[in-house]
Amino acid sequence: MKSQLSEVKCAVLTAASIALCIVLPMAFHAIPNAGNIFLPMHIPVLLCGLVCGWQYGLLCGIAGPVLSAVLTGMPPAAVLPGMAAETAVFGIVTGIMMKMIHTKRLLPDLYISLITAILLGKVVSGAAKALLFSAGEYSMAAWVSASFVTAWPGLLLQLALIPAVTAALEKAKLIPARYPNQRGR
Amino acid sequence: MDAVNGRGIYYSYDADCGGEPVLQNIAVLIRKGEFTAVLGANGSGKTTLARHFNALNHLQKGQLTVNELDVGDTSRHWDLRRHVGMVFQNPENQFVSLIVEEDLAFGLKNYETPEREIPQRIKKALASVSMDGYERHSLHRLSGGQKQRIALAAVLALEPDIVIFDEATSMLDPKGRSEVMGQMKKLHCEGKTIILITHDIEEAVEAENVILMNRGNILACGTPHEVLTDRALLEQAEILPPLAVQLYYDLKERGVCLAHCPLKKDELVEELCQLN
Amino acid sequence: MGNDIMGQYIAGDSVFHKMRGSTKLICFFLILTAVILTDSAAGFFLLFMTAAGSAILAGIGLRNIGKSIARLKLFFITIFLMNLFFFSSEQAWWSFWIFHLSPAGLEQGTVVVMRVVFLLLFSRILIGTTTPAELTGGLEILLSPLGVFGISTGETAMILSVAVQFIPILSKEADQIRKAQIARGAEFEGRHFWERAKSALPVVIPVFLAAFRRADELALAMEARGYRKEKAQRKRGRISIHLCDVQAIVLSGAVCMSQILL
Repeated sequence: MKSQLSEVKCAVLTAASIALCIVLPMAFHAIPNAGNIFLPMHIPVLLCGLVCGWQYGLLCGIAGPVLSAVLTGMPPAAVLPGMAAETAVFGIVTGIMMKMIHTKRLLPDLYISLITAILLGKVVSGAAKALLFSAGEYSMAAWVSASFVTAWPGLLLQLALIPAVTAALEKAKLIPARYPNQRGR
Repeated sequence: MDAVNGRGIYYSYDADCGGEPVLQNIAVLIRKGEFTAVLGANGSGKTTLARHFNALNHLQKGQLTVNELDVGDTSRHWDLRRHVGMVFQNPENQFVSLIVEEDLAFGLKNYETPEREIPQRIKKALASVSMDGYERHSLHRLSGGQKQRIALAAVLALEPDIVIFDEATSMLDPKGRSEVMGQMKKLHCEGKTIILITHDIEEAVEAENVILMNRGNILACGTPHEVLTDRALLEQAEILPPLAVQLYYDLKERGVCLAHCPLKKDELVEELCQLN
Repeated sequence: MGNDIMGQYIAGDSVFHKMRGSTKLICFFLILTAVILTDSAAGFFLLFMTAAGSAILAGIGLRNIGKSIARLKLFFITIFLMNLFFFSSEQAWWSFWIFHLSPAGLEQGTVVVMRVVFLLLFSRILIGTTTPAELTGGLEILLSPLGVFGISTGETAMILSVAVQFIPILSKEADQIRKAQIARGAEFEGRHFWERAKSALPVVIPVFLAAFRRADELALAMEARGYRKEKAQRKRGRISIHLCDVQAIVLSGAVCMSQILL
């Protein structure tokens, strides 16, 4: 996808994704603890990496949570470093995977990239918390609980929503079709 | 000198996949200093054509020179865009900053304007759209008409020779629309070439020259009187005639014949008074 | 809320207003670290004195900031209660099913709420004394190492500037989409957690489409005004550092170190 998007467009789409990192969580703010459960901030970062490439995904992954913390106070201080590490990995890995994977069908490309990015992001975030941010206080059980048990609705949401959003963007010709000559991807 | 001279222009958004052409064998001529309206219904290709004039759409087939620069030469596109400014439909989608002066400085910095000149150019541009003193204002607190005038100021800061208004009034209320139309006429009086892209026939009436488009083709080109009083032509373009023209024909069908077909309200009043 | 965030800058000529955006961000991150490390009464007292002193120096009343933070009281109550009843079952005063009211839960709930309140306090002081341009300029400097990955500081600055100005626009767009969905019968104020969660979904795809559409148009407008990535490298003049910048960083560092010792 990224190779056909102009660099100006990638830059502006990245800016829009960073803004969505702040706007989307606000849409969920009426729901208690929605941030930890639905992970609304992850969606724009994953999409940015998929569409614009790993450099822009990385920028979005770092700037999104940081700008959100500065402007709205969310994510909370204790969560920000681990989250920024996680989302940075999301942005990088989705971008790299979309460049490397070409199954000739959009959905498998998306799912392989997303699942790889999410797993690696969770691992890096857990390692960062265990070794740096909460050294000595972060256990494997806590990691599994936070990454998968509490956040499973958010993971399902990402896996369902992101392909739907990507398809909608391709249909609206806002991003170039990954496989233009294909029908019924 | 011709501001715009093109022929054989062809364009398709899905050219690689053999998609339907949006522009077919277009020939266009706009002289320097003219106020030209490109009129057509939605999907007629007018915006697609306008975006060739500043090379936002790359020329696929045909020849086109704008301000004596060859649009087919991609190395000249950056130069071209300094001479051809474009104001888009939605003012909010043209701003890169929250503060007026930062947004106006954006284009000037892109063209490497010396730092010491920038404040003066911004001041001049704001004055030309009657928004003096708005440098430190927040953009999102302005009205629709004010935002569009700031978008115009951002374009004028680069001192272009040609200004294209791409449906620039369609999202504005009547007051905002009147402000922007007033700016267009003022710029025209100052010698700039104005190209108005519109589907609103009452706006096209204000121009010196009208290009009528439909389904990627140019149906007619001429003065507003020549083009906009021809009911059959407008029907082919899927556009309703101006109100004054509709009244002229309605009166004619009821046996009341006016000496000339008016285009505007005051012309109609004049013709009706002459009946007595 | 988008306009609320962007409209929080209060013009002034305090020492905070004069500091560089990058300095204020560095201080903010040092204080943020201090907030994360704080878990004692003495530590919170030190944070309170730092916040009060900062607010006075910045010329911003603590009362005004307090009012804006007080609007989030429902959120504070929620996180307090979640920690109170779910944090620990050891030496519980009362237990029922998965709910355990314990001293550790009470302490944890209090600490977490206090941390969030202080973070919001410092965040408000930062954005009250820093224009969006200074904020993005500061972030640009801090993100300049990304240049090794092919994104120039000029381009980073542009992206951040555009992101900040998109926030109120997309926020308004999301609100309009919500209202349009309500007009079609969607319910956003359901009583149950999952009802509310489900109701947020029909907003997400349209918001993305709207955001990408705007980005598409803005990219065209930027190209029309001569923007080119290869020219986006900023010419940075000499960076002047004032005494107040140094003092602020040293003081913030001292607060952070104190939390380690307390």
